[in-house]
Amino acid sequence: MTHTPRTTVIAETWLELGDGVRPLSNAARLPLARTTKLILDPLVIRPAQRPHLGHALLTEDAAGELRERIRAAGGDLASTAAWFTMMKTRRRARGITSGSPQDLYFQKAYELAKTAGEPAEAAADAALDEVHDSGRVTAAELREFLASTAVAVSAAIDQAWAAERRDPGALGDLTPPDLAPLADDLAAGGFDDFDGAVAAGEGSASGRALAAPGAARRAGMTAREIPEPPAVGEEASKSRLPDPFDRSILERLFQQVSSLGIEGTRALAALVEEEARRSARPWQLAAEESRVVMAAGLAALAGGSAGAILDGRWQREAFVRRALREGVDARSGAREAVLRRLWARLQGRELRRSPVDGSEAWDLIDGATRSVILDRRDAAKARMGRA
Amino acid sequence: MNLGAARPEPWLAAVFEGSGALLWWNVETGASGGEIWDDARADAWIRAPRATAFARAAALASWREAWWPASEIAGIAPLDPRLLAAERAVALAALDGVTDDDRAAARAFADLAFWTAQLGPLDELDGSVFEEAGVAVSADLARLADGYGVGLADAPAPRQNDYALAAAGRAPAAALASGSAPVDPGAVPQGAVDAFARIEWRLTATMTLEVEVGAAPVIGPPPSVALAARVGPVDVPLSRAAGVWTGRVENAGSLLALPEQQRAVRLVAEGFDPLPGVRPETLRRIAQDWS
Repeated sequence: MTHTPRTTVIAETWLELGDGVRPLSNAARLPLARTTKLILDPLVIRPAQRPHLGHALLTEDAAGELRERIRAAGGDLASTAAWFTMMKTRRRARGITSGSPQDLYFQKAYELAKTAGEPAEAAADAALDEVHDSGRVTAAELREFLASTAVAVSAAIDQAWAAERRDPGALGDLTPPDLAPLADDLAAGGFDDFDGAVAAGEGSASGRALAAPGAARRAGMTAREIPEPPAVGEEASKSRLPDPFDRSILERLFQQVSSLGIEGTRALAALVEEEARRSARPWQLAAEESRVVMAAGLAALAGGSAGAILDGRWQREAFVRRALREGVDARSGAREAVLRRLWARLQGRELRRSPVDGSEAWDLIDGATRSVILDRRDAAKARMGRA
Repeated sequence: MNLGAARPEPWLAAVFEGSGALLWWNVETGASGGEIWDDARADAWIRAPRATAFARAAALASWREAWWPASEIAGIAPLDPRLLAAERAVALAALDGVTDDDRAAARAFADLAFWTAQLGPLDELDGSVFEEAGVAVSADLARLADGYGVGLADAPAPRQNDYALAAAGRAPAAALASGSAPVDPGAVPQGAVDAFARIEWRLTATMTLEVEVGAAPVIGPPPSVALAARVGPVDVPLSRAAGVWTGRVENAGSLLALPEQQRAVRLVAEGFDPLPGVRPETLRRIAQDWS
């Protein structure tokens, strides 16, 4: 049976949509990265509901179904493009410069396309007001809130940690499951094993095993021998973040809070309460899917065919760094850095209520590796006064 | 899986990091090739001529940013860093969706913003990549950048170029010993040293070791590089002023005890692994043939 790469099916069908989707396309008429990431995947194709459309290689039937889905969404996508263009025009006219339009407007434009018909200036302005709303909770307000409720938040943390200790789950021992086969399967583009690992609670088991002395430290999650409950936190700085499990509640939330679109003290209290509970869970993540991704990431970084693919990135990077005439970076500490980045992304997804599914697991692990590589490149550039 | 020409030595390789594939162009021969490391990701774009044309433009801009051998001595003028960043950004925006880093275009526009903040806005957008991408005037460029949330400065920031002729040589004091060696461009970061200069050293009668080497001409601020000359076992920290790196250390008489072949001089840049085998004459030829 022949299999067609998913990217190719999307690219070919996208071309059929013609000029209407140009604002969502690059100069080669292919969908922009964020068109795929923010519109096509989560809103049109939705592999979480249709796993057979999420595979990197598609069967003939699945390829046909994917084509049909994209074609059927053609009108909505053209309308999304028109709304996006209108929002960008109004952004310029109103002198708005904050944020990246693709990141901020794409999903709003799709929503308008589905609900508001033809683009209209007033509706676009209202959408901009909503997206750039200054009434939302800011990091400063979060800090004030935590300062004034520190005792209660601290009690919530203790309570959550005590509850977790009472009920360590079915797999209460400290032997981590062997997820190397899952990691290798994900790296090879499969993800059918993923749901099985979720159902079996293997992510939780892997997270609980981090309670063994030194285990969480070796995974890059803490500087301590054994993780301790987080502090409430009084200060936070992006450039001086401790390891994930050592981050205070403030440090876990301050970078994202303003983009979560929450309003009012009650919503803020709920957010903080939720974070206190998350901190007590295995891997300090709320969803089993997130924990399985962490566990698979840990296994991938330990070797196997998944590890070989990640090693390939570092080998290419050594060549690219020389070709760019930047000092070559030693790989020291990279494994822990990748796991920390992966954790931050998963926690961010949970905060944004954007659950992770198996079809994204490898992209998250691979993407965390790429992100660490690029950060190191940026740091080299900054040292040269070139950024 | 590799395709096309074999991977060149890194200093001759213009590279594009695509989704699922690394492409390279040998800047000496023009031959192209690549490594497809994820078929399923690369398949959608790797054979699209429009995509590979932009990939080549991005790669060649990156190569010139890294290796263009600007030189007073060889008469090779420095390139405008804004133009190179703009070429790269426009090409990467055209490739949005097929770059390995899905923020590659945004990063490149941030680089462009860095340079326009230093040097003011670009007046002219000369180059085929701009034409290909439909970017005719700087307002088009600003609009494209805004699409990635990057604002480009529109107020000029006048600034002195560090592109003055090297200071006329002082009459050297009588030297007890002296020597020189050509610069190895692979040993230093871009923008630091004139690729065709010689590193000159001499030990004065007062046992002071003095070193001098021409700096690379640059447009805008030079890179911050902790550069030192290593003469035999002695390190001489260098500082850059008026187009020349100079440095001196005292009490360097121990050099006199060394046989001449142990007094070789080379440059050492902190945190920079030297890249062996870089041939300045090849760089000169490539630069002179560039059109």
